[in-house]
Amino acid sequence: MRSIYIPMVLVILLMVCAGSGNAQTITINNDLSFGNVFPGIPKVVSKATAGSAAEFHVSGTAGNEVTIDFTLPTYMNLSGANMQMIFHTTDCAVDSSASPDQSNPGADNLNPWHTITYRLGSTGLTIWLGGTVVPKLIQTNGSYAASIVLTVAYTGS
Amino acid sequence: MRRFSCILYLLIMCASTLGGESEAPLCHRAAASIRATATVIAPLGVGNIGHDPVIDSPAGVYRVQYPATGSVLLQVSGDSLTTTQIALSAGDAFAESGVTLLESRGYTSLIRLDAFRAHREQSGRTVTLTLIYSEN
Repeated sequence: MRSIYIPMVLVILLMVCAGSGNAQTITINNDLSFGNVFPGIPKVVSKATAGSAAEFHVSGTAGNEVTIDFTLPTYMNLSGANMQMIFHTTDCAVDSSASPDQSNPGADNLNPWHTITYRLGSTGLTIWLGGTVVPKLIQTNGSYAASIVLTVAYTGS
Repeated sequence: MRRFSCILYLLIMCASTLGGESEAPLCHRAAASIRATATVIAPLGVGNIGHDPVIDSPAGVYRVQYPATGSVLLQVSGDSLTTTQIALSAGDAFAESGVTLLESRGYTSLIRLDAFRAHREQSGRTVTLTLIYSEN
């Protein structure tokens, strides 16, 4: 009887793994870069601006649904000084097509503050994020930085 | 046979939990961190020549009192500018406002704000103008 148990266990475990898909990976294609900014003058980087907007690529099992969660900063920092950042509710876009189009993505104006649910395409999923930086009138000169964390997980659907 | 059924039930329950929509298995979660970066440039020095607008100017934001006639000339010290690097933002009332870069040599640029010609009726009123310098 024991000889029956072991194959059954293996079959069921394989079914579980197949249903959840292969582990996905995230590739960072581009950081969110505001370039030079001037005190008192807010600067916007559109999610559609190639080379400046943040760009991620998620690979995994095609057709599987994933959740996308951002941990967004509210300030950029420079050794004691900070500078406000704003992410609007339309600052994210995603595209799961084989040829992702940043200027005309499959899903546009998504809210990066909420969980985004999308399905991986045959080549995965590309995610773009824009943002706004708001320097104060008297803002310490120098290079500011902040971290943006993206977490992607299968929903099981 | 009862033991087999019990194990099968537990495994099916486990599979159901792992495949649930509300809780993704940890082994199928991926995270990445990117950097957001920006460089704050030192405020440009600014002064006015020609007419006598009042300029109160930290860092690219200028409060200007209209002269009775003519336009406003600004002399900006800083990196050399090109025409495509300057824009003027002053609200809807100044939608037709324009900025002309008269000359830019070395670290001194001379900028004319044509808005004042088009809005002489606003003479004496103080408004806030924002000169925007782009990277391109």
